[in-house]
Amino acid sequence: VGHRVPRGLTWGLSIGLTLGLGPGLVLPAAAGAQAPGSVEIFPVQDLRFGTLPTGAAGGVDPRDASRRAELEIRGKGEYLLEVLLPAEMASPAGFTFPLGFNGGDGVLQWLKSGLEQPLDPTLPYPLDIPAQEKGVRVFLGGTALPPRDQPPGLYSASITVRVTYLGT
Amino acid sequence: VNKLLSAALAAALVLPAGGAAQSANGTVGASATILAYLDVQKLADLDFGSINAGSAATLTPGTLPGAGSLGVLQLDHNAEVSLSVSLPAGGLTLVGGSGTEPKLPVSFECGYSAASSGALDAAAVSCAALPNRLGNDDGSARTSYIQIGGDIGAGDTTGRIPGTYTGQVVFTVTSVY
Repeated sequence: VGHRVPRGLTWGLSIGLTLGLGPGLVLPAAAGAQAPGSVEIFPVQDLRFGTLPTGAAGGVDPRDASRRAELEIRGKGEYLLEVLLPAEMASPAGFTFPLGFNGGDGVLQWLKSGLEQPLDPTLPYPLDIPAQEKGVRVFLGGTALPPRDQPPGLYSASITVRVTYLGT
Repeated sequence: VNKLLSAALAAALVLPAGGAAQSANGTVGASATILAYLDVQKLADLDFGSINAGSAATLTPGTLPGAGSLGVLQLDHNAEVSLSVSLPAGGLTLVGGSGTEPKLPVSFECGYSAASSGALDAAAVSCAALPNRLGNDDGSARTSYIQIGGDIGAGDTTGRIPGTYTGQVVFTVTSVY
């Protein structure tokens, strides 16, 4: 019995150290001094097509600040940026209609300098974020293509941006 | 004790590296509100034809008139629709008159049908009381017809100034969804 008491104390001490050191090392990255490869994505705004009549395509330009989708990527280094684009929008009742995206439906804007460049969201994109830029904003547009006999109502879809670290 | 403590520290130091994301996903939504499709076309005017003074005239929706013709509207819609009907106040007006001549009263009757002529889906009613067109709240496309008829009483043609009398019945159709 006397032998077991010290072991119990040891486990208690190790748990305390783990919890204490972990957050302490992670915090600087969250404050902006990110370790190479660390990356965060923040959804900023949904893509909003608004109200559309049936049978008429409705497009959103990636430079339309009020309706485009927007995400912010924070990191530094070389990444592969991929946009997982939905092929259709769906209603709660299960009705769907096609969505269209092309090479002109994306724009990148560097966080620090504010400079913009085109992004083809239909293709994987090698993204090199210089340290001084700290990250980039991704703007996305698209085209909704409801056919003439599309049932009315609210439709929705999800767009996912995936960033994978490649190196510095 | 030392072994256990070392293991614990190692785990603590490794954790942040594992926690620093080498990849990340971010998701935004896309939304659109699709309006209902609705198209309304007039296929035929309501025409009572020539009426002798002192005679009545009746055009019954859902039947084939012996003289004259029913008014017909075609509705293409993929939602249920509601109707608001505006009838000519006081009746039909003499064409070419001064505007002060007595109007020719008409009782308008309407009914829905699945074809531009023939039987109605339900009994004809006063056009002002025509109910919503129900049955496709699932968004399915549908073509409906409204047949418009009416009655002109014999008493209203007696002593009437001869001539052509006209008026407009205005249907305001609204998708409901």
